[in-house]
Amino acid sequence: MTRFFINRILSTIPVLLGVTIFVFLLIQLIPGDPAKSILGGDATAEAVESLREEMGLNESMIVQYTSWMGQLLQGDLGYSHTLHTPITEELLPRFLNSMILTVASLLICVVLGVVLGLISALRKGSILDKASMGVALIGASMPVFWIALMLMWLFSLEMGLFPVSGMYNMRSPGGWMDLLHHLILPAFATATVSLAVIARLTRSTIIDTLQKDYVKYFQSFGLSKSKINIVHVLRNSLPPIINISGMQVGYLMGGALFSEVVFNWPGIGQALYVAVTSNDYPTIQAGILLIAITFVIVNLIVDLLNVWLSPKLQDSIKSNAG
Amino acid sequence: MIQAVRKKEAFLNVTNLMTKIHTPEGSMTVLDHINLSIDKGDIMAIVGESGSGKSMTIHSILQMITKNLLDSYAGEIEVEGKSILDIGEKEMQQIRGKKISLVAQNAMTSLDPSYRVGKQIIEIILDKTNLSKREAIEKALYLLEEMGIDEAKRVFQSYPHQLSGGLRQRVVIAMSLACDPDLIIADEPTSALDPSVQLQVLELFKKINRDLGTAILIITHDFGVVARIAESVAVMYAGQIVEQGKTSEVIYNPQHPYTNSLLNCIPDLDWIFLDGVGKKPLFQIKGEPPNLMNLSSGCRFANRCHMAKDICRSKLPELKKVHSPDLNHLVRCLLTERRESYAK
Repeated sequence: MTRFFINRILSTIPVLLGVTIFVFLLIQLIPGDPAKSILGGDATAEAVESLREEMGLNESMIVQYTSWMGQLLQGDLGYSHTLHTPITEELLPRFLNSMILTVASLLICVVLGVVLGLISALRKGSILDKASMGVALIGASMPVFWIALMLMWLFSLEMGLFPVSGMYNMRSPGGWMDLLHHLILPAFATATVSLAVIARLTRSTIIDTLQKDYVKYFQSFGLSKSKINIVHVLRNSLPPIINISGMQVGYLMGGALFSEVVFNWPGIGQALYVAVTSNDYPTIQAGILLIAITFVIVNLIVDLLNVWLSPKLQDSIKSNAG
Repeated sequence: MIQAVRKKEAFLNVTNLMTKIHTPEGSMTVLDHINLSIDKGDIMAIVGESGSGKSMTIHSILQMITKNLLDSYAGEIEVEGKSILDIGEKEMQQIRGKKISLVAQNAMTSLDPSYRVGKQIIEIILDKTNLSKREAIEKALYLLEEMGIDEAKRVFQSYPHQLSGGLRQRVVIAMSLACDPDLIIADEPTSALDPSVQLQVLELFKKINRDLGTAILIITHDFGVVARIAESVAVMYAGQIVEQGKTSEVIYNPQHPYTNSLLNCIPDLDWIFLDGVGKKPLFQIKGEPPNLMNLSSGCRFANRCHMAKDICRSKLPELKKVHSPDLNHLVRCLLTERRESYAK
């Protein structure tokens, strides 16, 4: 089993390597000269040429890639000629801010989605079920930026409950409570669509599991319904719920970019937007890479969780190894 | 040595049970005037083809028909003299598992794949009794050993998918005994098993009955199973009991044409190995059971009965005693009634 876990973790290395090559090539394919866009249209040919030399753009692609990889392995994401700062310094704190937003919205959509789905499934056909599934359908059909604007208008402008933008209040000492206060609206805006998706999937999975012979069998022993629902129904519905939640992380990271723009959240989305518009290739590369790595790690976690949750899967792994 | 005769003590009494369920076309009577009586220590069988109401009978007894499906119950179901049809869900939970428990129909799918077998047995014991966890583990191991499982400890620690079909069936039977019920109801307990294992499981039921005094109600479509294990049998057709009595009486002296046909449907080895000469085609009951939504006023079996007369199609026979050494041999057939009256 340990060997499987180690193998699975090692197997992410070629994937990550592939991601770096892909990202590198993608940037090479984008038309336009980065040196020219940094210096502006009025720059002389000599100035552009010397900056190209400085940035290493005249080297062959293989040399450029290996030197970039060499930096990466040392934890150095490169240097942004547009911002005149090392990218690690600029991007990493922003990436962490984005992760705060993503993780918060993931928590919201998983917890609320599962609870809503569970209640709907257990009260299948009731008004509660129809209402929450109706709301879920509407929620899943709304674009993130629009939800963000609506939430901002309703809760910040009309009711004044939450701050309009930013991560901390500039005039206060900050701290956890302040962060949380700023986090709630963007996190909800980001989470809505995924929440609806998870709620609907949870509902249908739970309804399926409720029909399983073993659930009915345990009911025939007169065990209390709530106990069976938690111990057997929810437990056996977890794998698909975890799978879909893992897939939602990608959507959440994408949706977070919109929320960041609307709520002025200092995350990686804003930075990438600026980088793309100014042809800041090293920053774009680094940003895509960070997001890709996160995605690979999330998938790894989902896979390992699924194995951990399924005795049958563990056995088939053992017999394959033996 | 003379063994004391076990005094029969009534346990389950079903009187004129009528169960109606909702269907898209309206309310449907799936059980019609079912009368059953099981004493402590009895082994009884209910036989019938699919859709005859066998499973509905046990689901009615345990009151496990889902609310959305159930229209109404009528009649009476008594456990130890106490009516259970109008008691609440809480009290009913005290009867399920503790007084009457079910042996799952399909052992392959009736155990939770996510938990070890032992844990599932303990879960029931802990929930329904006051035993400590340690005692519950001991009891579960004891039950598994009683089921003739050699490596009880290993089975206890296994997940369901790691066990063979026969072992799983034994586990399910052990589970049904977890809270020392007075009656276990086994719904087609051998249908999913290899023939060699079927016999072992039936022997196991007999052993449980002998050693623990547990009454057993076995639901099956196989008269072979009935003959091997049951003391009495009820034959069901289209929601009604058509014949009922001691197993030997019903098998050797069947009075209802349907029972007769069912018995004729069993292929024997002669039939299987006889080639060409003298080989009769295997008996089959032609036609299909009637639609319960659209019943004629006559006998429900009339349309498939090779003996049916005109009167069979217009008058519904009642379940009546027949002249037989078994005083409780009942048959629902007008022709039998008529024959009996001539004999007198």
